[in-house]
Amino acid sequence: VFAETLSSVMSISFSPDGSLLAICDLDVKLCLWRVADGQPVLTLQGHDGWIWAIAFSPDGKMLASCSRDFLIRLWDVQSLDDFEPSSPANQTEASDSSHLLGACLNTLRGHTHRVRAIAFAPQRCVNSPNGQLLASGSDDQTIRLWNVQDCTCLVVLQGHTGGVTSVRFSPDGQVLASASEDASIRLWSVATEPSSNPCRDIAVG
Amino acid sequence: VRTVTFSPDGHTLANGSDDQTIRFWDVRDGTCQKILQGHTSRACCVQFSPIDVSLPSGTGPLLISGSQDETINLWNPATGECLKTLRADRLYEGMNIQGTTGLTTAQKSSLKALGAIEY
Repeated sequence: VFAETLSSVMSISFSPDGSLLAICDLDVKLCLWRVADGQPVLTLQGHDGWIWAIAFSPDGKMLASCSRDFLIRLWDVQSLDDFEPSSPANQTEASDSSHLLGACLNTLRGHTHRVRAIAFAPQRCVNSPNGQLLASGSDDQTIRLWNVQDCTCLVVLQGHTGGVTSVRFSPDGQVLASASEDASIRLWSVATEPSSNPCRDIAVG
Repeated sequence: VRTVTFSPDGHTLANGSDDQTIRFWDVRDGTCQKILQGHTSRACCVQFSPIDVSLPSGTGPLLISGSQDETINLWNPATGECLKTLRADRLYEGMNIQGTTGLTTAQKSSLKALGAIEY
């Protein structure tokens, strides 16, 4: 049980080793909790609208969040390994003087509407050495593939005729599945070269 | 369609939808394999368990779904059977308002929506 009242929780994500739980709620902030004792570890602020989804990178060093403010933010959570949260006071201190802890590493700009979903490619994905490939789905009806190492948008996948509500990589990272408000699911071949992402459509009706 | 997720073996895609169903799709040919029914509102999130559990039909992952009907369902993906429904207690869960006086019909309805019972 976590000792803080939350407003409507939008998304949660465990770190790959299961030690941290990230929670984002309608308060436009992102909170990291230590699973073992339910202690707050860190609060990340920066988005200018509801955070729809959060995801840890496969190596657990980075946290990605996407928001109604059209942006995706990448947060440094690597330094948390050395961080010892002993009291809630620590949390305030950390977010006030966050020169290291929870620094926003970068902002990915490109979507022209709310960003609803994000997913990191699995570490063993051939197209994503080091698990540095991120997919995002937006109400602008597109999916973007990003290289989070240099923060470039590699590909814009177009085809959905409604907002994209969910994106997910297959375990081998070869296929990206997307769900949309146009009542379809699309399966995309994952390639980081433009115009080489053939797609199959599954209509749901 | 609200959400999609791959099975751990990557062969099956599960989706949750505004039509209250969860569907399984064959990733290779795109055919619908199963339709799981049980939720009474949109299915917002679906996820396979990362570890295999022992099921009557053999060992395999569970499918877990969350819905706007305020429940979480655990499913056997092999049979499409709902194994368990989880629901957090509401504010007035189980409070019996049978025989109470001074409550309007509207107030009783509100209490019942928050878990009160009347019998």
